Amino acid sequence: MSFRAYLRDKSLFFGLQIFYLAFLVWMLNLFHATTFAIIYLLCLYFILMVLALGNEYFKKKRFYETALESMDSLDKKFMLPELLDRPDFTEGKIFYDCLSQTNKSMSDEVAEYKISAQDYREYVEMWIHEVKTPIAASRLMIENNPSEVTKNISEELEEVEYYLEQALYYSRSNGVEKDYIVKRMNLNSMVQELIRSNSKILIQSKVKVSLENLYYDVYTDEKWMSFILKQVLINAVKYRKDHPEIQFTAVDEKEQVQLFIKDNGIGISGKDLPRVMEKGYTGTTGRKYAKSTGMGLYLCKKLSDKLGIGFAVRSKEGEGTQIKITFPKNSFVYM
Amino acid sequence: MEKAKIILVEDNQKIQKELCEFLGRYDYETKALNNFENIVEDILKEGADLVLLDINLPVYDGYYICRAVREKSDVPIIVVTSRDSEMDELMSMNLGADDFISKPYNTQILVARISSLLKRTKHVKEDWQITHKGLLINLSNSTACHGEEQIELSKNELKILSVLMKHKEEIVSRDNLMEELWQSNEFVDDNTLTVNINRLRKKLDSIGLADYIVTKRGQGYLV
Repeated sequence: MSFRAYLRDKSLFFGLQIFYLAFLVWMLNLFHATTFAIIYLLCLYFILMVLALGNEYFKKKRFYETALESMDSLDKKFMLPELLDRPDFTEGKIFYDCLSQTNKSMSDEVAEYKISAQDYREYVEMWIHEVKTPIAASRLMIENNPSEVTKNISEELEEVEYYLEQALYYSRSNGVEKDYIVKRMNLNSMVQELIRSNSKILIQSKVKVSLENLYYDVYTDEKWMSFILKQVLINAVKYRKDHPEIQFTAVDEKEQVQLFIKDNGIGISGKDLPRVMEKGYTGTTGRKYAKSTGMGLYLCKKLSDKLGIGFAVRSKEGEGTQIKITFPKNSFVYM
Repeated sequence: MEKAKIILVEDNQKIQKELCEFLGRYDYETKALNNFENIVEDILKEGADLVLLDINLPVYDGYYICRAVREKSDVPIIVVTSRDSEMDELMSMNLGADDFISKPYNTQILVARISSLLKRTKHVKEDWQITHKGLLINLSNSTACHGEEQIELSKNELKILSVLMKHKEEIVSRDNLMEELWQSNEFVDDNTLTVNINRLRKKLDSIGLADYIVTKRGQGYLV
């Protein structure tokens, strides 16, 4: 708040004051007051005015400037009233009270949505867990009645499970609470487990798998990591060419362990590459191959970020895709 | 050999029935318990070799049962649940469960976990020998005998032969063979499998078992 702006706000007041002073001087003249007395009175008046206005100006200036500065420094602007003291001038009080009330009412509103989002999340997760029981039952029935038909049903069920898992982790990725446990894991056994549990689809698609130099330990959550790896693996299978190959290798850098998952599939075009990790982005390949939901890589990135792990995609159209997953070595990920 | 007895604690009737049938085919004796009021006593009374325990149950939940059983017995317990986070797993382990499988389980993995747990707890000895049509294979030292003659088998050859012999008189597809190999972390491709089979045939030929493995074109192999 500049002093000039402050004076401009007071222009009517000053106008009336000048009018009144002129009147006063005229009156004093009428009563034959000495020029000295008039000047003396006017000076005194000015001094008192300057003191009063100056005091008011600096008080307001201090309050509003603190308000503006706090606002700038705040990440969540609605927290402003928490940072300010209630001022001792009326306008300021009104301003402050309005802010506080707005803030409170918004917090209530937000809390309501948070609760309903949380409710919804819990419902979705419960539903996903419930639906796994009939799937497990169907799986066993298929196993007990092997035929061409049940084999096909089994493949469809596998897809259902894949989407279920995506839904589950999507819901988890949005949660505020931390529902993962970071512990020491061996990369090699993690990748072996991944390949074993997806052996059917890999064998059917005639994918050649190779594991090299994976004997490192990393810190991560087993379940989340296996979800991420599975998304990457399924992508490699989905977007394969003839003679598909998937290669897992790791490099031990100074501060980190890097896991590379390389395929020789159709790759991602330069146009799509910067956007593949956006939610719902299917790109040209995704649309051509019909089955893309645009969720896989988005979730991989999001979950990786939450776990404090790096997730990067490199690709050349027609030659293949390479995913780099970076595990930090410091133990700070424990926190 | 006596069959290992597995107790199923699972309230879903269909899963119960199918699991009994499924595990029966792998030569396990199964018994499903349905009285959930006295479930802990019933489990202890049965004297089983292994308990498959669901978590979502009427009356008491699986965690309670797991702890109550563990207080009185060392019977191996595998917890089966649709909840699959690390927290759930940790909780089961803290209550004394030996293993944890999340639904919907891959049936092969279920069987593998059961058999490895039983092996570990020594209630069951693995069949170390398989015989069929005059050929005897020894799983413990990886050899095959026919009459007086004996040959050494590689890890993959032993696995292939044992899978074929366990499914004797049945056609085993190439994909199934590969899957069995993959389950023991041998991620062989199509060509490697062909090479392995051919080498295996030559070895069997050398001990007088020519054409022991029959090829069914487009379907698989059979012994």
